[in-house]
Amino acid sequence: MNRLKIPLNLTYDDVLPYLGLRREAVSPQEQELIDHYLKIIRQIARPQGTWRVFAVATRTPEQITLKEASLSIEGRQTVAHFQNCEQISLLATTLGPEVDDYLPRLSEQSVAEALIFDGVASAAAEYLIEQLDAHHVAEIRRKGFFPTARFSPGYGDWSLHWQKAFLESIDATKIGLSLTPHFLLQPVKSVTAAIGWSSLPIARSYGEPAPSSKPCRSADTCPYCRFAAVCAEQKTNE
Amino acid sequence: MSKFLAALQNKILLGDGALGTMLVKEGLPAGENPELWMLSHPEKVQNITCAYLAAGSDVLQTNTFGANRLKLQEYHAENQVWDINLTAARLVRAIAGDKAFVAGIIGPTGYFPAPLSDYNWSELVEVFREQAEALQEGGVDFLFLETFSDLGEARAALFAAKNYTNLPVACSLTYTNGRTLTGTDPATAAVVLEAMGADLIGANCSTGPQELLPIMEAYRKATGLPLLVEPNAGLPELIDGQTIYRETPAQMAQYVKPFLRLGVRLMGACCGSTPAHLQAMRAEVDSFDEEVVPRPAGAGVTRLASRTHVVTLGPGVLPRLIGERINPTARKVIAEAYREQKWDTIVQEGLTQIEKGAELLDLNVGVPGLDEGELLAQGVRHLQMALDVPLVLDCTDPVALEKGLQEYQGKALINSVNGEDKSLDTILPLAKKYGAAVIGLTLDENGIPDNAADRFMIAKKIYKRAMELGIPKEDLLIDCLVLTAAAQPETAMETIGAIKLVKKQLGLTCVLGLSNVSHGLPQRSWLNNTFLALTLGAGLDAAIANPHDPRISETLASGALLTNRDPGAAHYLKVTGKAPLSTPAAAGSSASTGVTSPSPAFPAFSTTPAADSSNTPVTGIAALQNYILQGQKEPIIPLLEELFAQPGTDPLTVVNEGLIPPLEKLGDLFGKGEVFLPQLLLAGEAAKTAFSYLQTHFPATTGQKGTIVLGTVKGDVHDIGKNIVKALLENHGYRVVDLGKNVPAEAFIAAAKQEAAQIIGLSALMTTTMVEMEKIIAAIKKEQLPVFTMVGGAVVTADYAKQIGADAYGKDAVKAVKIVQSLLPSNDS
Repeated sequence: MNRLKIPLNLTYDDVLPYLGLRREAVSPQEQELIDHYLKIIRQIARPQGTWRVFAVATRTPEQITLKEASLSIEGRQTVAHFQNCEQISLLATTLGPEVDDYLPRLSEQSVAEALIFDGVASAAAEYLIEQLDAHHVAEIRRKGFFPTARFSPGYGDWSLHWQKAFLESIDATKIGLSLTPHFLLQPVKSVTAAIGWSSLPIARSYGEPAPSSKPCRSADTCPYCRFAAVCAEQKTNE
Repeated sequence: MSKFLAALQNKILLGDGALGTMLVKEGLPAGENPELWMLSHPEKVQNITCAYLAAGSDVLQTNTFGANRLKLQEYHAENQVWDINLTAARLVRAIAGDKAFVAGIIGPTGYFPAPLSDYNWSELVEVFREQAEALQEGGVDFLFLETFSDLGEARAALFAAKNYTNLPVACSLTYTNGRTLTGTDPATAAVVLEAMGADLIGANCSTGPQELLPIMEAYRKATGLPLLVEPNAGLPELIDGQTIYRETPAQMAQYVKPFLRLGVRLMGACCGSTPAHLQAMRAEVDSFDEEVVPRPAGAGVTRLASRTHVVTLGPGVLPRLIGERINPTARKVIAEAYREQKWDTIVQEGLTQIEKGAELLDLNVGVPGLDEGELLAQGVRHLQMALDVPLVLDCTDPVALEKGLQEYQGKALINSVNGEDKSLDTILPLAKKYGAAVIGLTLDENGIPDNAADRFMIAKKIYKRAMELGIPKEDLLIDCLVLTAAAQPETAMETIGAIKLVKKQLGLTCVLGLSNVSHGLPQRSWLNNTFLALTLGAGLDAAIANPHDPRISETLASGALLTNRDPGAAHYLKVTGKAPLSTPAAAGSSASTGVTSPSPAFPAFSTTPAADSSNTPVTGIAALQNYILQGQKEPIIPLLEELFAQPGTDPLTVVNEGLIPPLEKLGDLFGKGEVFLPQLLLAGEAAKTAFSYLQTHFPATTGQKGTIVLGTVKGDVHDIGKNIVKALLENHGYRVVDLGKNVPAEAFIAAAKQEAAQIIGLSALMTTTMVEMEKIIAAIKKEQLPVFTMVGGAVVTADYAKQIGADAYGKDAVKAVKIVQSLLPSNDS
């Protein structure tokens, strides 16, 4: 079990997509507030991450089980994502409860600022998992394996209820993670992700992302989830 | 000088390539530890080493990347650190003989020094020490610390390597998008690692060679040390079922000369590379005949660094402000914070000083009765993670100071040493050992001399001793000391004289603890600033002062310009507000984006000819429109008061011409994707300020338009979207009863009855919680409540809304407002 705190060095530009902003169309007020809340989040967030590597125990087209973990990877699409994987890394990151506590207090003062803070916090959550991902993936590559793209319960046909076993398997309470009865991560600005160690080269992308059932089931971080573009396309085509 | 370093001066050395990925090719089973596998399969490692030697490598690496106690304990092999490192070193040594140098590889432990992980700095030093000593015993030519992604951990490894072996040490970090995992850029890494005594620095792994070119360029500008680079051979891709390596040997070879032109003296390759890559690179190294002279920028200037930023002091650069306020001596709140370990208070004090212009922070933890070393270590840990500015460790007790220096991951400034032998003998070696710069005070066992000449003599003594220890000249700063003008006004000009002497005869960077000059006198700011101006005239490079006195920044900026240290008056114009002000040293992580100038395309109100505010002041209704458009709340009330102070101002006209048109314009622009939600909300809040004012003063003009009960359904904890809908509805004059999040059906119904609401709005973000909406709508229908239902949220679709029997689907907040307007038509909308 590894556990690290990672400083938030995200930038102004990292935040813009999370607010739906284009750089050239940002108003001075928006810019000032983004800068302000970038400072705030660095002060209040307690960013940390944990991860553990598990060997694959059994595999069928519908299910992968792991040694020493209660988590199963289930669903044909999901199992296909981890084809040729001999090990699976489970990662979790969180900005800590302070960020969740701050948001409602800010909402009472100004929804505009709360929206901006929420965007900054979402960008920070993504930054954090990206950093941990990059760190971990370098190790996978060094050992001669090929990392898959990140995949989480709730993506594709991997039911969100596996989030519980996911957290148990990596003892995520150590970084303060828990679930609501509806399997939502608490603190909200947290991310879980599985990365497969493929023995064959593999593109870090999502082969068959489009969930066939509607509406989108990868909703936890929607509209910024991995499938957002696909879903949007689907919705337009409807 | 070691043979390795001598060779590096005379020629460019070719390193070797990947070991990890080569071992897999040799049959290393998945999940097996490569170092342990070597013990049972030494011939496999020998094969690879021989292949690299045959390809022309001048430097061969040991298979010890993960051979530290912390990595090996994952395999229950923490007791084999010594054996593995010794075996690995001897194995390569036997092959290399005199034909190649042996690099003793030390990789990261996977743990960063506290507070980033549970291991503290000294524990990590011990882990690296064990490995470094074993590699030395095994006969390696130098230690090669590689693939470090945290400067703090690299610094611990470097410290162990330099202090517990007598081998040369190369230190290489890995970068993603120009920074290490924990946020260090190459310029900062160069300053810190050079100060810590690295013989060779660089970058490895990361992505492909292309991405490492700008990193090496940044190194070259920051250091005169020889550089090393070992890029990955790109990332393999699976294209149409074929494994494709982006960088073939020939392509990798093309990067060799560009790297050598940047001062690279040890050129190798990392993950994915093979002996074939090295062979191709060998030819490029051999045919390189250009002379590369390292010319780091800012030679002769003192460079200090936090974990993430470098600050320079000295001739030709701006005089710096060192914030003095984290000091418990005269500040009870700071002493209290130390006593109760309230580090948030200390961090906040630091942030405030940075906002007021401090570019470095003095950290003083001297509270009688408290453990100074422990406090200094804690203070450093907390401040260095929260702030981007370098720290000045204000401590004269060598034992305490050492604890602080160990923790500090940047290049610190020690405050201070003085001319007493006791001080020189203890403090200066610490500066050398931990790669810190140090301030020398011009006092000794006889106190502070009255005159400039005697103070200069002490400075000279400190200088001599520092040079003997091999402390770089730039890393010794002198504080010529000032006494309070209340007691000894005759000595103030002696300080100035001493600064001039030190600058002229020793050429050292000068700092000054400024505030003492006004001690015990009224109007301290007058004296502080006047004296600061005088010292700047004498050549002072930095003042330790109070950033809360706004005149200090003004004096520094003026002084910088008048002493010709501010080319093009760029800084002066920034400070005076005539040019965009950026605060790269502040904690804002946006610093790297620099100044983002507001978009010229951002909408001004086109129907307002006077919108160009730089020439003609905009007044009246037009000003109100602009404030709403720009989302500025503060000027609204004063403007309205001014408007209504003029006789005959009609509140309805203000609403219809001043408030509604800009809101509608923004709504249109939002629809076209030209402005975005934050701006819409900011404008809404500005409009709300105006509406509230009008409601208070002219209640008749603003009628109640209707009531909406709003909430996020049971099970869902996301409510930002709901809050946005609420805000926009309120901005448009509707009454919103907000039930919050995780709201059960009964609560919606009870509230709708009690508040006589016309509309119930339901929000859900998740597919798992969206189903709750259906239950609530069914309950409302069962009760036959006379209300409309409106649903929305990230995953909700029009189809779904129809399916569950909702009356309306609000795709976004603006749509929701339109729906409410259509459902509840009112007189004025």
